[in-house]
Amino acid sequence: MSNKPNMKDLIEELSEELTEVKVVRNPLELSMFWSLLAITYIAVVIVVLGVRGDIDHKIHDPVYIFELLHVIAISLSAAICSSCLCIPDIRGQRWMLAIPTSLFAAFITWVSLRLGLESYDMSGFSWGHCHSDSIAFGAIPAFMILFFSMRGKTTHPHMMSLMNILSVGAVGYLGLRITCASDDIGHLLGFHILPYLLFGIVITIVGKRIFRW
Amino acid sequence: MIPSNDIPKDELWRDLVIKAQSGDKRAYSELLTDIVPFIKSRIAGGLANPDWVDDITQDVLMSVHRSLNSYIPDRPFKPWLGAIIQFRKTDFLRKHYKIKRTKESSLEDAEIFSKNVTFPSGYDELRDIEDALCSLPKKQRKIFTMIKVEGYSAKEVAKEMEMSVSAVKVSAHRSAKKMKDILS
Repeated sequence: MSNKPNMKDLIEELSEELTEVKVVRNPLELSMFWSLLAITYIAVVIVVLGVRGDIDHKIHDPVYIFELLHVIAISLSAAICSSCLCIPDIRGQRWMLAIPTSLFAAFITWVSLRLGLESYDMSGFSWGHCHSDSIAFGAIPAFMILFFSMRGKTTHPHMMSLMNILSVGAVGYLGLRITCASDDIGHLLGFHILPYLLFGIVITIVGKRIFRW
Repeated sequence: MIPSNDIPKDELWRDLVIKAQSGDKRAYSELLTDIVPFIKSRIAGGLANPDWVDDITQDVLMSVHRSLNSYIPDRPFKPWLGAIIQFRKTDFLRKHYKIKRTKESSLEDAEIFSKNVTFPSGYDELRDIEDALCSLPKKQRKIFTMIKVEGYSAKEVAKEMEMSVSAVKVSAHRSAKKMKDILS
């Protein structure tokens, strides 16, 4: 038997191997499904950990509300992009990738401005309850989105990694902002953003491997 | 019934892929046969070696096979196929040049020679072959060694590696070509 397949043999073998396939869900449906699961999970973790003591006061703070809405927008748009990236041609919606990345750029600008304008102290930086809470908030949504992404066939593994990090990181950050009473920018950076940044670095490094098909 | 020649290709392929997704082997075979010239025309431009066209086309066909479930029929077929073609072409070239770079550095590196050549009396005859073999990715090297050196059939290797027979054949063929490229 020759080990060099010609095109005809290959086509015959592939046709012989064919079985009925289940077409993937529409990306919008898939992202809504993930978002619903993630929000339900985050709500449960918030109930378990307890909301911040000053929540009655904070819900009247427009900056705080805007921040929460901003991260929700990042998470939702990134989840939709992640689902679209499961399809090789991104369903022709490549432009959509600009939405979460622009929102994230605005978020980073806002954090950078606060770092420049506000005083903060990171000298006592060590493992804190916010780090373990960030894992509690992020682990299940991360597992779910990776599971969905790995079932897809992406042709943009790095972009897929970025979108997954943004959707999980934003939803986790949202949970932490509702449970942790600290508004100090140093604390937000070191305890609420850094864990997801580290998770992001890991996913980016292994992204090409785990999304290979 | 409209003759298939009068139906635009994209619509025809879309119909065939929908049938293939429901398990119609004949429609699938027709689809794969029909898209080969299109794939070849899309990858031919800009390749340094015309022999690569067949390799990449086979890669694309296998990728189409693996990702058949990711085609959603509410969109045209060609962009979906085009994205796979571009992805596999880039992937192939990246791997090729990575191996080439490894080869270039190893030929000048005495330490890599001493590590890789295990038959000193046949050093001159074997060093290039061994070096080329070592430059193959681990999985490809195993498949190549099992088939070409140890004499296993593609079917046996497929069972051992938990791969399809066609994938094993393509991998062995690809490895042989890479070896040839490296040694020439």
